[in-house]
Amino acid sequence: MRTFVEFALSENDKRLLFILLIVFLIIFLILGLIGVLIRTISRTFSRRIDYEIHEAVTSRVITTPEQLKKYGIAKNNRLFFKQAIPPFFIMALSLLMYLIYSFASGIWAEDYFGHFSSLLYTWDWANPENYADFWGLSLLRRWPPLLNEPHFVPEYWGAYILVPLWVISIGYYIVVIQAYVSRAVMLERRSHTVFEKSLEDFNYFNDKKDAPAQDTQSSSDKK
Amino acid sequence: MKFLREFGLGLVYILLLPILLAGVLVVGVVMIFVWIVMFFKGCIRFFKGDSFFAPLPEDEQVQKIKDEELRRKTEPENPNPAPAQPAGPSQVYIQTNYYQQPGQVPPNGQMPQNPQQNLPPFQGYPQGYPQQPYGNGIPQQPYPNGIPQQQPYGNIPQQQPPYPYPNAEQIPYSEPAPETDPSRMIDITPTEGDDKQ
Repeated sequence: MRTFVEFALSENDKRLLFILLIVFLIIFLILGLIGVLIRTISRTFSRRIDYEIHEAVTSRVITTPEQLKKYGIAKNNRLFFKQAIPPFFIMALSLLMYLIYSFASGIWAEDYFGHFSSLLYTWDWANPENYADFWGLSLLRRWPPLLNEPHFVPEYWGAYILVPLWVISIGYYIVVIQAYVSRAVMLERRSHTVFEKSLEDFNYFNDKKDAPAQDTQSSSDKK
Repeated sequence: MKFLREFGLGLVYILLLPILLAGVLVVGVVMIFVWIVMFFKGCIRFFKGDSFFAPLPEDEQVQKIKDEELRRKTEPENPNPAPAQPAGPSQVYIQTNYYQQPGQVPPNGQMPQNPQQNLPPFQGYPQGYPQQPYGNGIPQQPYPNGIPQQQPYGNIPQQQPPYPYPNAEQIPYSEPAPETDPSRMIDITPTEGDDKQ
């Protein structure tokens, strides 16, 4: 039996490989579940456009796909406007807070996120001694030491207010935008399916309604 | 099996996540401007006294349809239908008028008496007569200023019964031909001895 490549793994390498395999599996699972979550949220958001355009479609007011698209976009924009009011309000509030804080402190450029991290746990991820080289890959060798424990700094009160407002408003706005895009995708799909003319179960010779036309054609051929 | 399919599609979403995020970012930036434009347009409309959003023509048509359906459900076809008229003979009001000039007295010196004059009201009148037409007696001078010019019985309702055989053959009327057969003729010429009978 010919051997093309010979692997010589130590016991330590085998353990590391096993751990790596488990880590990759967990990451794979988490990513898949995140994707499922994104799909579920998008599907839930997209159903709202059906509610918005339902009456106009079922009452036969809308007669063409173009009209449906135009009407749906208008409704989608209006719904977006209403849904985006809270994040924009929070953004406007944070802007007002920023102006007040900067005017009061006299400093217009600060590391607000750095200041806010004083309330969070901080580990030494940047230290290269915490990593090991494994077949060209830089892998974490040990858990990094703790650099900061949460503690309150009174001088950073501006960051403690502004950063949560920014994070909430940006996250809220991303969700609203995702809902808008989901509804737009669903609207595009509906504009095709609502006016779809399918010949899936139709056969010209099996349909008795067309039988006289066929007979007429055949009789004219006979003549 | 369904979960595995969803899981696989979720992985596809994760692989496409950078593209999706880039799309969301672009749409998000564009929609900020759209929101600002809609906000100012809506504010202008609002301070003009209109609604914040201009009504869409499709929504107006839908509202008309809904209002029409609501009207049909709430209102009957004919809110005050005419009561059905019972089939029967039409009532004919007969009025007997006695015209008398002031100072005119009949030759016998007595005023004409109504045989029903002394009866209590509503008695002695056949069905169909007006109820309590003249109180205890018939007015003797109904038209002191003269008789008004009007068509007699102009307002009496005429009710003609429908023809009972609408499908019957209609034969036009024609004058009978004069009889020429002597055997079918009767001689009515006076003869002698007729006077004796």
